[in-house]
Amino acid sequence: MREKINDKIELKAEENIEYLKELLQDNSDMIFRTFNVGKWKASLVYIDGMADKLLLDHYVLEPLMLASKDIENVQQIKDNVLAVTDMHEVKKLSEGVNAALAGDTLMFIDNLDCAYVIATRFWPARSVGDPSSETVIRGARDGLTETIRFNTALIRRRIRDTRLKIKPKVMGIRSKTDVTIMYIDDIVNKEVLEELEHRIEKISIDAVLDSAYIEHLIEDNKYSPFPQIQSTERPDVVAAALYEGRVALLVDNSPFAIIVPTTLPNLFQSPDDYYQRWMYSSVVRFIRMLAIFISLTAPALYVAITSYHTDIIPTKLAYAIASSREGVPFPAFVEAIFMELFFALLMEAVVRMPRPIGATIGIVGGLVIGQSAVTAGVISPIMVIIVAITAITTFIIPNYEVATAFRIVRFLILIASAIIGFYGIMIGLMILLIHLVRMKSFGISYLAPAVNTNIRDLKDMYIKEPISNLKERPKYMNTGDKIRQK
Amino acid sequence: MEDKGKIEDFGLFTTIVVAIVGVGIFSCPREVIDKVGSDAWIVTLIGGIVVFLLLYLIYRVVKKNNFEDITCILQNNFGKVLGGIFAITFSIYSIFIVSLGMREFAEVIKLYLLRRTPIEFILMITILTGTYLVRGEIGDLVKFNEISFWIMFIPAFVVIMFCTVNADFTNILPVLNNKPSAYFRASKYILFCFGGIEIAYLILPYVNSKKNLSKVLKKSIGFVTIFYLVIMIFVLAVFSKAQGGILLWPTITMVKTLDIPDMFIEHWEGIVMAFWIFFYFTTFVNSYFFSSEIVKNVLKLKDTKLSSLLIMPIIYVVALYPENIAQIYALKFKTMPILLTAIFLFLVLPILILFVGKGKDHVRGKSDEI
Amino acid sequence: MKFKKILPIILSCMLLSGCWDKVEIDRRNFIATIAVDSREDITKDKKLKNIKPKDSIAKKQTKKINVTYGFPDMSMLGPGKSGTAQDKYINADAYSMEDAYSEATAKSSRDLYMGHTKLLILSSNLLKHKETIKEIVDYLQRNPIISRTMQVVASDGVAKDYVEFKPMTEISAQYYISGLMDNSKRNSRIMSTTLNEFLILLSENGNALLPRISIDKDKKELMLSGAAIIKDYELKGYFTPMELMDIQLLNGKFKVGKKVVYVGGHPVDYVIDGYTKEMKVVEEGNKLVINVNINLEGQISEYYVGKKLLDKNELQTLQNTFNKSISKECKKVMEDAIGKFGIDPFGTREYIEKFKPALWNKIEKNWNEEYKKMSVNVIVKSEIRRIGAVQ
Repeated sequence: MREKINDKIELKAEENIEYLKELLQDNSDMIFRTFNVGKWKASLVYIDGMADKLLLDHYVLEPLMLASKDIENVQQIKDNVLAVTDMHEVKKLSEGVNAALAGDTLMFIDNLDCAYVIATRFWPARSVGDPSSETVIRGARDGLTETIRFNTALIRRRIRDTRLKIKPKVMGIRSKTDVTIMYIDDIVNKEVLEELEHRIEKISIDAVLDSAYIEHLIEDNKYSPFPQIQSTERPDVVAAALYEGRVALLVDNSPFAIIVPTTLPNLFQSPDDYYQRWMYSSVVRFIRMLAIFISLTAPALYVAITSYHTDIIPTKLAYAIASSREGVPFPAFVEAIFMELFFALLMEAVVRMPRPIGATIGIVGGLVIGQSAVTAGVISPIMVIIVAITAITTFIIPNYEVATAFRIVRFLILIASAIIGFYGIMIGLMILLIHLVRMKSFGISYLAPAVNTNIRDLKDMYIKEPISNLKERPKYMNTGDKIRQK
Repeated sequence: MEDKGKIEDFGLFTTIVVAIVGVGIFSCPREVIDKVGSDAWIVTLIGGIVVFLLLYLIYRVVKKNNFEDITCILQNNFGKVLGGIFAITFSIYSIFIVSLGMREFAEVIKLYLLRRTPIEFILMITILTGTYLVRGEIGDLVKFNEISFWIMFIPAFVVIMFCTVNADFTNILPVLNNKPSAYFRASKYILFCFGGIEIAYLILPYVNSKKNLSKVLKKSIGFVTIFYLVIMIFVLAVFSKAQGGILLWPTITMVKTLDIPDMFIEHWEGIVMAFWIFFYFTTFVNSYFFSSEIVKNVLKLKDTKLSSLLIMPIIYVVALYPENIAQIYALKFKTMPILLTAIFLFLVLPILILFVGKGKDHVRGKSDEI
Repeated sequence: MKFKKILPIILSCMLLSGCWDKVEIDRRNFIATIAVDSREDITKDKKLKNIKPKDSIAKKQTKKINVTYGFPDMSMLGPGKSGTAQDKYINADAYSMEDAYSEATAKSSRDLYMGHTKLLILSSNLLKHKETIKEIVDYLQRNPIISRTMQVVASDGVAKDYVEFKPMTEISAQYYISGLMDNSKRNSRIMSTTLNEFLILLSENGNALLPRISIDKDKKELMLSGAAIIKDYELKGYFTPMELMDIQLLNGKFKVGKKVVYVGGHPVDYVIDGYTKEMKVVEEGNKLVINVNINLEGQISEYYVGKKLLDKNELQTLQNTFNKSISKECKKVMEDAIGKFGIDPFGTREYIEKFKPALWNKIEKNWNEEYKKMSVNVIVKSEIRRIGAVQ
């Protein structure tokens, strides 16, 4: 898979150019420019569309041309003539070629056995915009973009500490994607960092197109529906995670940063929790817990109660449900499955459609079709209510991947309840609990801080205290520096 | 042995509480009230004290042997073969008791929730779920216990609070109006309800901070005793000793009489039953893990995956063995071999180890701290 | 892992063969009322003693009881249609409650479901047969599905008539009767008993009080009229509503009620809304004496135009009159209960057992005779707190 590039830099600039032209033939956007500097020949190699031509014209070629007569030795070119701030030498041709392919400019000069790489990366990039998938009521509205250097800048603005480390790596044999590992040196949990680097070393894939690829290659448990790594588009979330002792990975071409280690309670938090006052946050957390429970069990409870254990509900409600199901052809279980399927189809359709049509389809699909089905006597009205409640509660969960995991789990619990009613729901929930308890994310239990408890951490999960009370970092992370606030 | 030193105080507390509180709360009120009437709560208190002493005995044994696990302790003190036999006896005893408990639990589920479902099916599902947990490490078990603790006791206290409406606390009188022999016979039943303390042999070796151990043990037994006391008192208060002595499962019936007008849920017993699944399940899974560990250590297997598979069919067979409810109770309480084994394992063995055994006394501290 | 491959196979087997308990909610009949009557054959139950356990039963069954199950009819309703359901009934002759259930199942197109039963009516004819009542009580205790918060009443005459009665304001008789009994919170001439209370009382000593309902055939009215006295599983007599109110005063279940005295030929109505009771049992010589202290609080609601009540002495005289009158009534009721019927609805036995265990141990064996010999003192202290809006 690896490409073969000659490593030797010839002393004659033209020979290098000839070699490169052959190596990179059939590439119409590679530009080769040969010119004279004093007594020597020099040449530039760059890619049209990725290199900043203005910089090359004004600050490389212009000074060279102007000073051409006064140059005495080759060394002077770098030290005295080139008016660029960011340039370095490379001794291997392959490094130079990789740099050129990344958008830098490669410069060969006669009698030099090294080449110069001038930083000219400049391509069409999206400007910093709203993070589309994570909106907050109050908080910054800048989101990460596809250029890794902009992203590190956005995060660095929030952490101006000398102990912040940004370690580079290149991943992907063909894609040669830039990846950086960010962490704060004296806070981070060193074992997690080591484990992460170890897992990254083991990856040998030809292309890394998005941070998702790396995420899926380093996660602990592929067979679980729950994500063990958090991905976010918001720089403030990344910064907060670094302050807690976690490690962030930025991948070029991807606006999503990934953060390890991740526990399930992390996935249920939204940045709003910290930007709003503590009472609101505590209430919202409580509502989220309720939403999780309803989202997992609502259709299953409906099936269990109406088909198995009718004595739980008040008598008048039982009469209401019974009369509303009179004449409906399908048993409750089949109805529930139909509605789940229908809703899944609807959601997929709404996500893929262009924006103006999407909203309309939502209303048409949900309301009109649901209502008609009820009037036609095919579905009972209570089922429609249950499915609507389930959908709403699923979307309260801030993280899309977890919501998807819940859909799968909900379906399984529905099946369990159809077989043995209430006991099935309990066994289903218990199996889910066991599964979560056994999962670990980079050595930290997936359910911390609910387990291995420190009462203080546990309280933070349910009640968000005013920020003046949060004096230490979470204990379960085993961080280096433990004190956050005095 | 990866997780050595990883269990915190709270983990120890919840494991002991949750392993002991099991199906006992369903059935033992009847037996005890039947024998001593309104003095049932006194018997519970006595039971709690006795159990604390037994647990303390276990603590001393483990401490003297420098916090090794039970198989090592037995084999060090009694030699490889005899120690192995004792260990296997422990394992078999635990499994036997817990399988009978599973049958009782399945019967309750069948009676109140799922009348026509075959009992084999209920048993099979419960055993499989337990096996899923047992195949993990001990750290997973403790985490599961920690979460179950909250799930079990918060609803329990809510329900008990609601039951105060129907309760007439003067039913606890008269006090001490029974012959002493009646107390003695009732205590036999209570002690079985407190069963599950052998889990301490499993957990104590892995505890992180050894300083607060005995305080945590006191707290956990105290909690269990208070919980059982409250249940006993409430059953007496709601039903008075006449009905309390005939109802097979008075705690469930007590919940059935809850009538909170105009609430969303009218009859609570289905929901409460669902939560009480956790009560049984935690006892079951802790004993199951304990037995698997012993089998793994005695047979020198690599991990609990194989030993749990070996034990699985045994549980199923023992659970199906009693033909009806009466036989379950007879097997549990009235067969002499079971009683003798229990006394031997919990009383004789620890005393032997303490006073006669070699122990692994690395001289750490000179004074014996309690 | 092999485990993971076997699991789906197991699950699919369960799904295909399983779902044993599933009954769709619209295939259920929610039984709201159970009414049990006796048939003539019930007198032949002496013959049952001659049946040996090993004989084949088929030809020798005596159909002792007749059970009527009342339920709302759901088939008229559907999604989108509103309204409440009409009541329908299923009738079955049987030798026991369980047999009645199976006979009725044969007559119903839907699964009979007793988890939501609200009312149990036992007819007065049935209550005279001790053995059958004991069988029925055992069924009720053993059945795990039957709701223990169901209300129990004794009916005058045939219970079936009560189930089929069409009341004025409600659609079903069960709502009507339950509604009547809920009024007991506002008027203590009525009492309401749940199945749980009934069973507890019976299991203690076989005695209980059941609310009694009767139908006035001319006026087509159904009303609660006092209580039926059950002693030793048998119906022994009745209390009138007035006596019932006194009994509620004496056993602590009184809530709100009315008492009247006649002053100068005009009735003075005293509505009682506050109440405390204290009971003590003391030994005097060879006999036991029950001393009951009752404190009442209330207001005067009706007298006569022209009489002024806003005078301390006036109120004092009234209070004294009430004291004497009420204590006399109560004493009579208690003596009737003790002497004539031999029942103890006042909790005397529990009191002695709980608070004087030494005394209880002494008289436990001869309780019934000792009880009959007891004499009673009732001291009533009433306070008139308010006299309404005019003086």
